[in-house]
Amino acid sequence: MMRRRRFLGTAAAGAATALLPGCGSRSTEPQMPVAYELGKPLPWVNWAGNQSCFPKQRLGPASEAEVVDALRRATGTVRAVGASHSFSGLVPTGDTLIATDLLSGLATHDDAKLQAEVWAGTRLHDLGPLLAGIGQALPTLPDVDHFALGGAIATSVHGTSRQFGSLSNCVAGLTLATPGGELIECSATKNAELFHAARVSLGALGIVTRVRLQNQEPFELTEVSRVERTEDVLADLDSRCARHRHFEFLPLTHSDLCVSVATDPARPGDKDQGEDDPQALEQLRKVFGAVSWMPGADAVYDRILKATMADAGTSVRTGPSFRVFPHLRVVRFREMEYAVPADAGPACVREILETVRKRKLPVCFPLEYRRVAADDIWLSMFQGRPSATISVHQYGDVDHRPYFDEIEPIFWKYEGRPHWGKLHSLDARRLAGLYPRHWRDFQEVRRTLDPAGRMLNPHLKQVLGA
Amino acid sequence: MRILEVLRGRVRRLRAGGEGICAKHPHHRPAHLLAVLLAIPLTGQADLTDRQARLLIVNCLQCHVRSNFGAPIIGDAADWSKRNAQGEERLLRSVIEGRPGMPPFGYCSACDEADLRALTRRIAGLDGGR
Repeated sequence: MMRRRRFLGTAAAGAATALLPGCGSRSTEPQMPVAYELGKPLPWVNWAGNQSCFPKQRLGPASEAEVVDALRRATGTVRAVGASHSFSGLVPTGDTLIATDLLSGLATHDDAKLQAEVWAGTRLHDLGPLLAGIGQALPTLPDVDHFALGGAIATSVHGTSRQFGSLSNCVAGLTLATPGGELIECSATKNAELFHAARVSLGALGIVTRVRLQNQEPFELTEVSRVERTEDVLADLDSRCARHRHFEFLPLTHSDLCVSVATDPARPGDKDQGEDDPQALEQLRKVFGAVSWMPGADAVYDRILKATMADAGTSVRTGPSFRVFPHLRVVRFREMEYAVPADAGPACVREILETVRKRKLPVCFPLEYRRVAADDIWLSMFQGRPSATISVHQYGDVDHRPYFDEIEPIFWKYEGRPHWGKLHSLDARRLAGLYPRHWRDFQEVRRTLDPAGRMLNPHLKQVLGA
Repeated sequence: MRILEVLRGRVRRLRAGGEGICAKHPHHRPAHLLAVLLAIPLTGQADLTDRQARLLIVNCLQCHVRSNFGAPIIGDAADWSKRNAQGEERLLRSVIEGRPGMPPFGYCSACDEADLRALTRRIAGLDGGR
């Protein structure tokens, strides 16, 4: 996803807009997707503002016993919600919504094994300092730290690294409150089938209450971002992914530039360099808006970016891992992401960039290209194959569908698996073909735990075919 | 309030080099907590239930104690004066609908209107946070 400081260099582009006619940009002021009245029950709305519902019951259990009780007494379709960051329709229900906000903090920890059992509602933002306090750290994290841990593993949230998998891959065990109101612990050696299913479950098996994380000792990282040519990065991609602990890049549409981000263990003397620019994405948008009407707009846009970003130089952030992994968000957007086989990643991203250019798609929100190691989790996007994840984004106040509809078939061509928490149009029939090894295994576990389908809202029925 | 007692206890332990500080990595002190402690007037009265105080810590304090976030800081009257001038109803609607950089409901999935109203008053310092 987009990182605001990554586009430090584009801040200068903002100055260019003052020189150009017609520099207006659409507002990114959030739009409430549903009407509501104070004094009456409030809706639930996700971060992006594209999902909403009016649950009859909104529960916030503060203990495992209360979760069990809530599940036993809930009526209608039951869904759990963490930080409401998923773009896909995992949460909406008109019946019972169970929020995990109050299931937060450290439950137990094991110094010898470097494991920590954490309540599933814990926000990743709190998780880093919490683990540091017991001499532990997660080996990898996503670049957004507002997620709830339970939601993050339900959707296989990930960072970028050839050697590390998703957050779900850091799970050594978990406790699940089933729709029937039973608490079940599972791990690779205890209730193993449930463990394989529940590490990425879309919240279809019940509510995960506790997660035992396999951590490592705390460590420090240094992240270096620079503006480069996309083709230069692609030509050297394997080497960079092997050389750096974490590597990703963000190609700019209608331009041959990108921002590369390499992150490695910090060395003595590493220092921060450069500053955050929270409005860089908005500046990029203004520049694009100012020139996109012109004949030969691509060339003009690319030239402005090169002129203004050429001197952007390198920016550096260094510190404890949990401070370096995440980045701030101030611009609301919608996102579609697919995981394709790692070897197919470069061809796929080239085809997307070429499609945007050839079809003159009015898009200036950068793409994001990351790597994730293979895992053995039944419904993980990375099951059985090292992957490249490619994301496309659109500003939150613009209809994303024309853009995403153009790009999604490209992902299909490369056997892409959609991110469970992001936008896509696949149904169960198509998805089953992408998970040939364990699709049926997962369905069997789900039917055993929830024969009446109480956890299935319309979106889950569509993607799981239940 | 119990939450304030808990926070005061944590201050004492942090100052003594206790809770939350890894012996091997003392530089990993949870600085965000200190920021919270500095920002919350411990002598003030917060008309929050324990549950609401926990919702505040889990959700609101992610942003409203971090000076580099662009969010108005809890307890900083200068940050809130213009916003508060719009009135409580307008402020509450901003919380519910979200703002650029702020999610709808301030990330609080468990909050109902009474929770949001109480948390908004406390963070913005409306009526002294009571």
